[in-house]
Amino acid sequence: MPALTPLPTIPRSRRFSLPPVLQGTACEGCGALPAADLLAEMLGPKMAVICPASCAATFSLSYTNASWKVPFVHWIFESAPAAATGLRHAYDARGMRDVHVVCFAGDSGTLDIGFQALSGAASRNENILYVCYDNEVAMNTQGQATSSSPVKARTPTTPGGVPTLKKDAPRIMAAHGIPYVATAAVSHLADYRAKLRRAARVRGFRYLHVLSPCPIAWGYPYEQTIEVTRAAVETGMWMLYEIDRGRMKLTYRPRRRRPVKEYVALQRRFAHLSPREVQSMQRHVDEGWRTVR
Amino acid sequence: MDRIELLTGNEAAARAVRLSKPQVIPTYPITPQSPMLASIAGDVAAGVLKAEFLNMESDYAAMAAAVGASLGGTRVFTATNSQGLLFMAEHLYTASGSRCPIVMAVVNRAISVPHSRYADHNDALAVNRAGWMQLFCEDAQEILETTIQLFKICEDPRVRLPAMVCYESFIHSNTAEGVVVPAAAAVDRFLGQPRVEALLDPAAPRALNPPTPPEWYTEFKFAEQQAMEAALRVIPEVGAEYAGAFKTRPRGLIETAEPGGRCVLASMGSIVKTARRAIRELQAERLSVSLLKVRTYRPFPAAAIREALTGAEVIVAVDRNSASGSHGVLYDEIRSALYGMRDPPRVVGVIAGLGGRDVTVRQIKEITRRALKREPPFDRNDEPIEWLGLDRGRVRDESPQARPLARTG
Amino acid sequence: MKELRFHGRRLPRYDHTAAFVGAAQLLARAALREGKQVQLRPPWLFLRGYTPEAAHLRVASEPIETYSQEYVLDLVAVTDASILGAVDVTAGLKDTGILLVNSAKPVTLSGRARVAVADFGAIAKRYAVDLALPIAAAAAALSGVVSQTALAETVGPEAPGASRRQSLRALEAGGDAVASSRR
Repeated sequence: MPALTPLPTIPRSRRFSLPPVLQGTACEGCGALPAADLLAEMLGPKMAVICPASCAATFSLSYTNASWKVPFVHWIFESAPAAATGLRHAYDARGMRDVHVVCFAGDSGTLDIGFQALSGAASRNENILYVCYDNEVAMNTQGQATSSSPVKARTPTTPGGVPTLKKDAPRIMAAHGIPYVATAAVSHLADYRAKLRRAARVRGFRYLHVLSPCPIAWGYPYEQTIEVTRAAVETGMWMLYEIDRGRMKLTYRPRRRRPVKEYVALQRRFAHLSPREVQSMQRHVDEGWRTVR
Repeated sequence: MDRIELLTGNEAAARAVRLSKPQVIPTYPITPQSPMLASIAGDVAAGVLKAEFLNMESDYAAMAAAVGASLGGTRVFTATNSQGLLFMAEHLYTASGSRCPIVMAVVNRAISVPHSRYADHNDALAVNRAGWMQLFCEDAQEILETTIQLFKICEDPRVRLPAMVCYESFIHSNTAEGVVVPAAAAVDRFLGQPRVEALLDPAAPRALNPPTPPEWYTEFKFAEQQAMEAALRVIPEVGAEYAGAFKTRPRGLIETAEPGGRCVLASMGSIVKTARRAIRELQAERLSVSLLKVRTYRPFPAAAIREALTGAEVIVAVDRNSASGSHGVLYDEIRSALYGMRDPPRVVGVIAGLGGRDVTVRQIKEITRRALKREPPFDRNDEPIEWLGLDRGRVRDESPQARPLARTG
Repeated sequence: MKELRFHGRRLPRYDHTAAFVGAAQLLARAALREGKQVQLRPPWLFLRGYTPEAAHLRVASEPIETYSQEYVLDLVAVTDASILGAVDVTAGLKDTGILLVNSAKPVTLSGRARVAVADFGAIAKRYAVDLALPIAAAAAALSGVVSQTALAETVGPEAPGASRRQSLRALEAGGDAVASSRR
């Protein structure tokens, strides 16, 4: 067994990098790392990050060092957007209107325990950028299902497979009437970068949802994080789009969508699926694409 | 047939749940309780436990669902700690005020800020006025037995209150020990069918929780107090019944070891276990030291404690909890229990093990010797309290934050 | 009471137990079979895969009356020799204590009298069992914490494709591999 291997998904940037003391806390192949890294690069240095309990919070700081080179607070699980609201208004009161207030949260803190606060801040159209990195489980507590877990995925609390469909977070957020919503994926970094750039220029509540796979929860070799993410996009399981002032626009359309079974085959969390179940997944994806221009 | 199995504290709790057959289990994960949930979910998926296992969207939702399920007439179990327990705080009062016999495992963990996943008792103690019984376990065997017993205690018509079975994050939850697991049929006989009245049931419609004017409120709180006092009798009763049925030693409100000592070490949870060895070694040095284990913290067993401490000279209350501006709970509540005694023992306090810090045999022996010799701070009449193992170099008078190490060379 | 520590690297998977934990679990179960008391503490931190971590095991004939994390160790086992430079594996080891290392190559540690080294990986491979088995057997043989009989009665097939007979042979080979290091 080699000594600790370098983390394959971690780029180095001015505003985010794991100091040695924290390199034990982010797993090899962690999909959240590039999501955090580009966020800091594109919105910093004038930004403050509110990060609720999550894997990201765990790899973000220790008593001797921090991964983020911008102001950062490890926050309480359910209330990041509420805290962000307070910070935003404090900065406004102090005339610091050019400082971005950003939430960086996992799917659990965004869509389950944090949903009340998220909906509240979006309803008020707070001038906040919210980035949800989605590994489709509550991974900081070792992988329980969330409302963002895909149907039929095996998790420790759904040993028979998740019984319900993945929550359509971006469209729910768009239904709040907020000015900018976008999806992204850590396999398509240029697309993510462009969306961050656009989001940085919009005032009001902005919501980005970034697919960020977890090799342990999804069950694939850690070197394959980018490949697995790309498969999600190329099979159409994950769409890359923006909803800009209510109008939806795809930012990437696979020339020919690969069959869903190729995506499923890469991951142990789907290993128990029958061919019929995979077909039903394929039908669901096909239907989702039928309604998209 | 009883078996001895290698079980962690979490697994012991999950096994007790399997044996006790709750019918609805609303859950939300939090470190380090989550493996227990996975174990229960596995039992339900495998058909070994017939229950509705609910993945709720947050901890307070889990408690709201627990009360809803209890009002629907089912036996209910859930688990949480720390942040989750506090997030549920409002609904804890809903449960106790509604007289729901819910059993909840609390895997005692320190509360953010500072953020910690490790053990101390501040979480359960932060809600010690919410009307829940609170029992603190010493080891995995006690976790299993107490969880089973609590279903019977809570559902007893004289009680009808919810209860927390408390054990420590990582120290108990993730540490594996040999646990004697009773046979399922014997536990069925011991617990019987759930005695949970369906307060929301079309068969007998009721309107629950009216807006309450002052002339009605007090007497409901008095009834809860009476139920807690009844629990002081029911808890040892059920413990004795369990011991008879399963051929184990009876568990009740408190336990003592090496009674009659000039000095008594009083504590709860895992520190009790470590104190046992310290006391043995001190006795070998001819020091007169006893142990007082507080198993039942709510209701607080004042009379039993008074009786156990009569004749002692000094009590060392070792609190794995703290409250700035006040004291550890054992320090305060033991002193309170001794008030009015003729020649009461002195009580000194030790704050130990916060945020999961290790408490060693050596440390316990040292403070005991110092308490017996009345060495500072135990010589003071006013606030004779020591923070065990305090590292003054680490005291930072600020919001906890990362401070990069100074560059060298 | 005997105290042992097992070092290894964490595996970034739910469905596999790393050998250093597996060996400790096996010894704990065998000890229960002998009517002993056990206390097994796995690593508490959730660190990324392949990080060096340690599990602690106490075994005694009387009740183990401490949860303290201070250990005075009779044996330290290292399942992955690559951690030897990075981690002080002998911290807390008694002067008379034994260091047991899984390695195909010789291992030298200055100042440490009793070091037992064997290629347990090869044994595990030969019998198609988990690495935990031969290491547990060696640790038992060297520390006397449980008998080989109890271990043999505890173990079932320990890897897909392995049989009980192979598991027993792997245990035997593990014990034999350190026969020369026993007093």
